[in-house]
Amino acid sequence: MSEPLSTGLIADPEVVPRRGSDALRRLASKGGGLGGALAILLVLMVAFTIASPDYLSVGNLVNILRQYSFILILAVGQTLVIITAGIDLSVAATAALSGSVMGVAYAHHGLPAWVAIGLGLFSGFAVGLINGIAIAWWKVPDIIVTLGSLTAVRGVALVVTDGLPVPDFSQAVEGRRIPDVVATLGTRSVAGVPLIIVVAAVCCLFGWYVLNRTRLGRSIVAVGGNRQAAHVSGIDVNRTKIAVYAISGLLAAVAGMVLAGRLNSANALMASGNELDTIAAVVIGGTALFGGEGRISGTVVGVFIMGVLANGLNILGVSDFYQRIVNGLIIVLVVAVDQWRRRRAAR
Amino acid sequence: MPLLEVRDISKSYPGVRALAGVDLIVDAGEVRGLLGQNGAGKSTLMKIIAGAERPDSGSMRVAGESVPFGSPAKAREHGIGIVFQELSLVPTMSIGENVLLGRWSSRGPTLDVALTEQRSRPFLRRVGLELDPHTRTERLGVAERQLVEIAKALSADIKVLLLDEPTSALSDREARRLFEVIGDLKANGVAVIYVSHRLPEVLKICDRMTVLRDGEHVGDLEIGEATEAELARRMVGTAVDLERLREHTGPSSGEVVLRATGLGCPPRLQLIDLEIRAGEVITVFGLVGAGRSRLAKTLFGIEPATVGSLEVFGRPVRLTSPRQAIDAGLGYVGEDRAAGLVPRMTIAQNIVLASLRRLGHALAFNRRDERRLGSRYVQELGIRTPSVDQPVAALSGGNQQKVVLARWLCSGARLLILDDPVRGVDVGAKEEVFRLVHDLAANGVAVLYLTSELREARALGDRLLVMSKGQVAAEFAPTSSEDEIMAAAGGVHV
Repeated sequence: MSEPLSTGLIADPEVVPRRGSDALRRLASKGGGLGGALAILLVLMVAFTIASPDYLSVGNLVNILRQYSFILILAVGQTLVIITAGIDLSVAATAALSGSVMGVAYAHHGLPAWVAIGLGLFSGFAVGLINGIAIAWWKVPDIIVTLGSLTAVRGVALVVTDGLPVPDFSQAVEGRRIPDVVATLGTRSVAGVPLIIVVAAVCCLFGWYVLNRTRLGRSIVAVGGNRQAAHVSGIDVNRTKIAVYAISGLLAAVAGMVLAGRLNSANALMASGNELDTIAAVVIGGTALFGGEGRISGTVVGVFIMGVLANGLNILGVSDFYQRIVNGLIIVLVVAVDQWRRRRAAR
Repeated sequence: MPLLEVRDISKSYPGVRALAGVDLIVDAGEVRGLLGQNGAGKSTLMKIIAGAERPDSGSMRVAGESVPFGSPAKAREHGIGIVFQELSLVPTMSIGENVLLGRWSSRGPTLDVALTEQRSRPFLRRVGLELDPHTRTERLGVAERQLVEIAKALSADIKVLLLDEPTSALSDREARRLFEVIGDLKANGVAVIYVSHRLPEVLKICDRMTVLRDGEHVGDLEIGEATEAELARRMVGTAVDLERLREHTGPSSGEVVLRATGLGCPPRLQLIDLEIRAGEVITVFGLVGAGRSRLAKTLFGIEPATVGSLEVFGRPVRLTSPRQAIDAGLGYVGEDRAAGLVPRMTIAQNIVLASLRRLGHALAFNRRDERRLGSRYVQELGIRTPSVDQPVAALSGGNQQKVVLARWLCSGARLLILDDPVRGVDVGAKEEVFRLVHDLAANGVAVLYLTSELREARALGDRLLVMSKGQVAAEFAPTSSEDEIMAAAGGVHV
């Protein structure tokens, strides 16, 4: 079908929207959506700064970002998945698999670095694709599929590594550990900026671009917002779901690479439990757990809140036991505040 | 003193005014009919009285005592019982457990299911349900479940009983049994509020009638002064003069847009033959359950046909998904408006949803075009909003429906399938939608308009098809009499 149809009701249908004021209103409403999480982040930072003057140093903030880059990369994929009203519990396991595949291929089998990296990325992508297919075609609920792959993927990673850290010196090719480029991205800085932060930023930009500037992004929001409406509007719901899980798998693979780089090693059990951190960060960042609404910027703030909290409590010398309690409470509290705000807005 | 006094109830949902200053005052031992079209606000009012919804304003008293809103428990405490239209039984529990849901007998901390079921027997007997209370509820048919619901309402000490379309699933014999129960309650001083579409039934059992229209109270009638015609006139109102909406141009000579031959998916949809020409409006009239919506969904590829053939613009096609139907030039507005919109997306985003392929490249989505097209259709269809960047959920029902229509103008559809597009839409917006159908047809669009409102079907169509039991039962000229058409639809003319 070619041109849009006119009802002929008005002579000149070309109406130029008043861009200026609308843009301002959009900005204001966006800021409003992020408001809760941003406010909490600010409160936390102010509180920690008062408690410990060393807290608010550039060095410390960069340190937080460096430590949480891995989580952030996973959380970008998780954001897209959750906006489609899905959930991906397998991201951390997939990251471990990808890091392990890369490490084994490079160190144990002596494959060229780029082949090893390619295999690592492909393994993550494949896990996402299989997740997506099981969800879209076989109609297995998202949470069941990815709960299954959370376990199975760790199993595959254990098989690949024989359950040993990579490189294992009885099997490794002389002098090989992790590909140099990966180790560089994981550990080095350029002009004071750790490269791992740059990788995470690129992943965020990628996620933002997909969500806001591509047809797929529109489909993601529509499928999560009202699956039926998306379907009758000709959007391929299955393909959208498969695509979003594949992207999540691919980003998990990238995260697995940089984690292996940072540790200068890989193992099948690394990042255990981090899938829950990504979900917490996404939800804290204001993405609706039931889909249809969400922002990458919110997820960035969400990850940052988790990082600031852990780091601040560490500086104050609070034990890990208490930190866990605080972390758990914060997640529930933030979402409770968000729900309360929404209910009020609905009235 | 009246038994139930509900005064000045107003309730709005985002974009929709459901009730505006409605009063309902009912005496003990009175059976009150509550009438109105779809979307008139009957169910909302019932839910408010039962405590399931909280109104924006108003007050309620039972036997002179003020009852707080928004609490089903408080409403029950004051003797208000309700049988909802959507059944609210737990299918995996026994009948007896359902009748006394939440008020089960126990011995110490242990639930005594046998005693609970024993206690439910008198209530089941009262509604004439001769079944073992130990039967699992999921094994019952719809009518039996309805009776269990009523037994459940009776099991509490009720002063006011709300019945929302209680006979819609009942056979004549079961309905008669229900009327006996109602007579019994009346004799015991219970006030019964009876919501129904079926006017003959209402006239038979009610003492007084309250009519709602578009959320407003349009009058109370005594049994003596009410006739079916008078009630129907009040329910529909006179604001929309459908008769003068459209000049029938007779058979269209335009190009054949769609031709269906023996299309269907038996047994739910029997074989349909259908031909629609450019510039033609065909209305399909059918009562609830006649298969209208099924036909619409089959044509649009949502429930693909299993037999028969379909041609669009002379080309044979098989439509097995909405995508294919859209590519063939079709558009679809479903009977459930909420199912067509993505509420949190903006108006512009909703309008272009079926045209994403036209907005730039897949990897470089053109947002300027999105807003430009959005603004264009907002203007053309007169969608009342300050900005195309508003979430569509903020619009009124009529304007939301225009957004769905705009989507198909934007996608360039040449055949629109509209399934009851004005259900629950206020009168003014209805008229605008009708005008739009007219304008579209004048511009060469073919329209298949499916409805359960006979007046709409007669006023809008160049030809009128009647569906019954999953097939096209007859074809009429729009000038045919209502009685003839109703007879073909297998219904009783109201």
